[in-house]
Amino acid sequence: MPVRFDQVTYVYPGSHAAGDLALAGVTLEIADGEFLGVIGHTGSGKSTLIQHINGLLQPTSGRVTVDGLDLMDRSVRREVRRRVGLVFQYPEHQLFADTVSEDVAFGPRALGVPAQDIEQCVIAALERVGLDFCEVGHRSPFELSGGQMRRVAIAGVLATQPGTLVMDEPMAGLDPAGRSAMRDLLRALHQQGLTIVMVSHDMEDVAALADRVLVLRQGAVYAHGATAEVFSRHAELREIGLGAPRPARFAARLTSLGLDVPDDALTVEALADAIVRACADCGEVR
Amino acid sequence: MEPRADTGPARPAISFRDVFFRYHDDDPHVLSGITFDVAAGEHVAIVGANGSGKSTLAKHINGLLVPDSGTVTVGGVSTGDPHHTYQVRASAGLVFQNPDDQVVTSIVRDDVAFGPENLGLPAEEIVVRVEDALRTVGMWNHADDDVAALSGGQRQRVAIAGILAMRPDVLVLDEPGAMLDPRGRRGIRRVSRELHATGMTVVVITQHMEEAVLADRVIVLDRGHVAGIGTPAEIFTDAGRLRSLGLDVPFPVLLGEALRSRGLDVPLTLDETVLEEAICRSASIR
Repeated sequence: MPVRFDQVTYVYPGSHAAGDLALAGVTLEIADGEFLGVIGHTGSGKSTLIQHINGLLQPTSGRVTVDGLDLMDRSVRREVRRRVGLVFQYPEHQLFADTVSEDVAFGPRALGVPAQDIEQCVIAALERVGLDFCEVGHRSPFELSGGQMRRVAIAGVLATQPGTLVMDEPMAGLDPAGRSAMRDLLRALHQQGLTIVMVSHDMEDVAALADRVLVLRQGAVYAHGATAEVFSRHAELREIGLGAPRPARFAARLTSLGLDVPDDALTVEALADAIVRACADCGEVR
Repeated sequence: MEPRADTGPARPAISFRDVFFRYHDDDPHVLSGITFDVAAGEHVAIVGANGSGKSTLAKHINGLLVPDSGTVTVGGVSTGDPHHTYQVRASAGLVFQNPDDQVVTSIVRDDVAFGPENLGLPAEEIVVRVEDALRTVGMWNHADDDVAALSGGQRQRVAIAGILAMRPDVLVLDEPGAMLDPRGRRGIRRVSRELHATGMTVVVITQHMEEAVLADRVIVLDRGHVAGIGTPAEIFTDAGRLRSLGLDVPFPVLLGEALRSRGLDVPLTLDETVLEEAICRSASIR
């Protein structure tokens, strides 16, 4: 059980009002190898939540454990930060070194990986994000395309070989081709066994990638479950101003027009299958 | 010197003629022979993958960049004419992707007043313009707030108000929703629709198809060339072409494609309602 939140409440320092809970009693478990999508409005607590997973923030009350290590214990935080890699929004803005390999090497070096092993870490991390060490390792990260820079930043996090990858809006600002390449990359990393927690406001990305979805509202868990199950509750999601993915919304509209299409389809292909089935059923009844 | 006034009422608001541009002499051209017109009062969307030249093109509309060869005219005035730089900047307002790049002061009303102050307008005129602009974007009730306390979408609307206060004829929005959540994007879409309704010429650079389909016309850029100009229905129903240009295929087109490949007789359309009706019809025919 890598990540566990137990009644976690967080109040940002300096806020006084009673309603200023950035997290309000969050309890949840993220299983090994899970791909969790985290959705909610700006200000719903998504960023606050993910910063608790690697101990950047500590709960005001309650407990966060990673592989049983309690993050209130200062002595384990370094180890937890190795196990949980956090990729911020627009991570390429944090690239700083003269070369791609220097940038990717920063993490393992800071964690005390022996000098002779560092190059191997860098080669492997770049390979995992689809970049070739010989081709880009010696180049300035700032000469690369935006999509490549983001991959370098992710490689920098993967270089310390975390078991869990936490990503804040990994698709933000990418064009359709870049987004689809990033989806492929996240799928591949998940298949390699990484636990992934992805914050996103794009319901299609969440529907395409996540096994489970967590919906936050005003710092509290509003819904948490299997992706299809959470997105089938679109009336509730709409009530709090979140849309369900297009296929689920379209299915609901057809149902309201009298063609009974189940609303658990998350992709266009699955929706097309469901519509064709519904049309066939209609024909049989007639 | 007065601008040329040689053409009649049909004079376009913006005109690009065979525009070439590159940032450095030994770089490839970012714009290679761009030609198009935007009529006064038209709402045009410019789409294209990353690196297609969209933002470079936007900066040509208000003379922030000028062509290496070819001409750009705004309201009949050439942006390359140094005598008219001021006039061009005043008639075409450019709003950048990141509102934080253009917010200059801490209080909302002061920030919006910055542009008209630089135009040297009398104080009482500035007060009127600031109120008008903030009301237009729905931010008048935040006039005395600290910009830093606003959400991203609200800051972006303040940035738009700052441009509107200069009363431009043409508003250019460079990926205004790229850094916003869905709610913030909806707010910006509403503002740009309302401005267009008041007769303003609106050019929006975007990667979001839901923004582009609202335009009167769409211009597609591909590696510095105009790859297509047409109505949203003409541009966005050619799925194969969109894919080859690295653009998203809109949901109704994707679903229509998937349904036709399953033998269901539905039309090629951007309109979800049309698609719904066609599906319901084929359900009752069977």
